[in-house]
Amino acid sequence: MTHDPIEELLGAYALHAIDDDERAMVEAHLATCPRCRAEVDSHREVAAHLALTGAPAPDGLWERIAGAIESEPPPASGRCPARSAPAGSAPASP
Amino acid sequence: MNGRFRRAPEAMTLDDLSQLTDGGLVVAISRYREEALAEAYRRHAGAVYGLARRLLTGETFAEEVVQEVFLRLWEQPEKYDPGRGTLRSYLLAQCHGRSVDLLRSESSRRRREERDLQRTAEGGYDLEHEVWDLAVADQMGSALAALPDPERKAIELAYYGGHSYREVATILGQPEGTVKSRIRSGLKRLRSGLEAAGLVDADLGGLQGGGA
Repeated sequence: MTHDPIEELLGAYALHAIDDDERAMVEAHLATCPRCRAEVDSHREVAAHLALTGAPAPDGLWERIAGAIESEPPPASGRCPARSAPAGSAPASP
Repeated sequence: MNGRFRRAPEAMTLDDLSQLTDGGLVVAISRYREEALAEAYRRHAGAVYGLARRLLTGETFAEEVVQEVFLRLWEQPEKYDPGRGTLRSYLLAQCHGRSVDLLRSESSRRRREERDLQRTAEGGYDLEHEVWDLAVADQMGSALAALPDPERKAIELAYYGGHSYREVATILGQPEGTVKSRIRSGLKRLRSGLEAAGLVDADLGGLQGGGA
């Protein structure tokens, strides 16, 4: 089928170097092809090494993230029973 | 009674957290353990920020991307599958994708392309300098240097420049199909270099060849 042309795109896909039309095509294929998924994973791991040396994240950035997650309630359809309610706050019964 | 205040059994000290594997850390994050997210941040934020800074002009954008990447991990930890690679490479890929989106939507996109075209035309676009300035880790630097020139340039423009392979083809004046193939073959060659240097294990590569 169209396997080969898609395979040729996997490197560019892993580096986010393809346009939307082709990206959609590749993703549709990846959903059904473990071998190509593994190839993308492998490319991404290589890419992570291209990025390897970091810079210290700026001061205050973590505090902003922590602030954002605290002001944001866990998603309603959460992944597991919500985290424990704050100690003192008994839920008001309706 | 207060019996359902069950924090104690799963309480983790900072020490425990620092021992956790990426997978364990993400499980703790999925249980809304903020300190687990803090540990993931401690381990990887520098790399993520470094990459965002490299791709984006302006630290504000870079900080926003880092924030988005970690908030997404908090909100959708299930998107990370430990079977598909390390948490670091997942976070870096998220960061790269998001940064590239921003780059491409920036109004400066056209100017960027023109600049790169111009430099190439002048023959003065010394990609090497750009990359060495980025201080890629030594062994990665040697693996990159060992690539055939056309593969290396294609990968650098795509990964560090945030260009699509079609843009890279325009910049280098090469056919799109050629550039596309070179990016892929270059990545494979880099992987062999990294495997030889012991920087990645061959497992994932093996999976590629003959997975079930």
